[in-house]
Amino acid sequence: MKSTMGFLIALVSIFGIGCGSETTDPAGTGALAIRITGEDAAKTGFPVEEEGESIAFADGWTLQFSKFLISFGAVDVRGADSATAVTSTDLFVADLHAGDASLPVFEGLEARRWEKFSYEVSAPNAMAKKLGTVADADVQAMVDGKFNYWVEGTATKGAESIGFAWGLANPTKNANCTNGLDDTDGVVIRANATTEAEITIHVEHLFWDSLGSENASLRFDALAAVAGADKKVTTDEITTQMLANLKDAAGMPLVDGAGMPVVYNPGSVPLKTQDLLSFMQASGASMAHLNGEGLCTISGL
Amino acid sequence: MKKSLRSLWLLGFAAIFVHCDMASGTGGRPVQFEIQIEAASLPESLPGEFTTSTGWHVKLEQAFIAIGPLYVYQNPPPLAHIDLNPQEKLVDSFWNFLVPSAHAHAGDEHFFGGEVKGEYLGQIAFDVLHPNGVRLADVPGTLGRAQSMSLWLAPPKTSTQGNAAALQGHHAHAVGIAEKDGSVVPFEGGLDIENEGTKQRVDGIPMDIQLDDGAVLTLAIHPQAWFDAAHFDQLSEKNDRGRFVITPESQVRTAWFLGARGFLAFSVKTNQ
Repeated sequence: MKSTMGFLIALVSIFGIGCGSETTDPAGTGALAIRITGEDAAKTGFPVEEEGESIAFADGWTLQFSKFLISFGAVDVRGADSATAVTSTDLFVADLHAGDASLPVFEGLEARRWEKFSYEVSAPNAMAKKLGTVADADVQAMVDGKFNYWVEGTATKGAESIGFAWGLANPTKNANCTNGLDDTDGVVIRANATTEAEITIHVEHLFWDSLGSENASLRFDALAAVAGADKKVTTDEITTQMLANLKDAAGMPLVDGAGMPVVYNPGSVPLKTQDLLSFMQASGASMAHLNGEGLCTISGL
Repeated sequence: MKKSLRSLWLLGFAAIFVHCDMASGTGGRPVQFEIQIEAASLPESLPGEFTTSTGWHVKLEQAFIAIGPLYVYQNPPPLAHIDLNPQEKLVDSFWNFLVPSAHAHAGDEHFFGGEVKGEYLGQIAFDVLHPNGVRLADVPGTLGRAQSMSLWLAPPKTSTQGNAAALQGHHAHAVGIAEKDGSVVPFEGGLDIENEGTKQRVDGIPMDIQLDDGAVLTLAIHPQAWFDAAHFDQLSEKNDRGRFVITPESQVRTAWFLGARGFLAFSVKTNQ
């Protein structure tokens, strides 16, 4: 987040702010450059500083990713009047741990506000294009497993290190995104200029312990507990952690530092199954935003 | 990020849902409708009798929960387009429900109900074993479609209607017997819900009604959801009445906390 602030501030200077005040410029066209980032957290892990606040695991773990692959695309940019700017079916795979990645620039767009900015986070197909350095084998694994995220890394607490390698299949359509810079709808294309837009992935959602609450903490104890003798936790192992009966590595009730049960709280959000993987998939389905904090209407695919 | 951006989220909601050129949506004429509350029971079962997914057959002998306030909202919950009968099909509808569709954010304030079409600001200690349910109140509201209900599970107050003493100061209190494979576990305990974030709130209970004079909304409580993931054999502390106590650190309490606020714990019926 911090690393993108300059970019965001620059965007503020070019985006129009207001509701109903945008006017169409029939005389000009511009371009739209979209990039994707996992912010500093995807690159350097946790804890991480964000806007002066440290985001850290409540149970004392530090965590570094070695891969954070996302498959996304099908960018669709339209106006509230149903005019169309971009209707792409292309899917891309990027490694957000390796760095930010940019899509090919969309040129020749009418200069105006395009209120409906949408995209998908979905598993790659055989035609998916790699952005930056992504191993073919990783893309193929995502195709085969129908994973829209592939995440690898290591978490550490004291002398204990736990590896993880997870393919996540929680595909979504992220529609009608709010612009995180000014809370208006979509993006504005300026004549004879390139508008930059950022798909921002908040990777910390994966480790939240609460849905529907602003008081979520990041936790890893429940994941580490099922790693087994190989000290690597898989998605299959995560499914063995039932939300109402979380266990530690010894099979005893998982408790926090105060001796109280660790609870992952889904609130009234229904889950497919009542295990930790379903919880993580639900939480992780809302990782993608527009320009920092811009929310999208998210629906399952 | 989370707290500091709450105002930003709210501004975002405003930008999304209150377009400058959008009508205010508050122009409906005043109406009076009725809210009832009842306990749902399974077919061919007595109220408060059910089998959990953990295999325990439970008979509740006493069960009360403090319900209220209640809010009736214009907007549907994000999952309403999937199925308005959450008890049967929703859990099979994987990703369609996942994230509230109203510019949702699963880890933050995520439900935007839109216009409040009516509200009951009181609280009742409801007897979950009551065979017929009760009429809660006539509620003023505004004409128009209402598609969801939200409610609070707040601790009882001095003004709480009903048998508030039965709650023994808790949000909910239950006494019962659980049986499985020859094991019999008499139990009792209270559920307290922390005042943190949205823990005391249940949002987006699906419904669909055209609010008008004479409309009736019935909130149904599904006690079978309360202990669905409970392992009663993990209770270890007995009280002087010989019952195992649902202590705050027990697995049964965690299961109750998750179940009592979960999606399957409530539903709404209408007279339309």
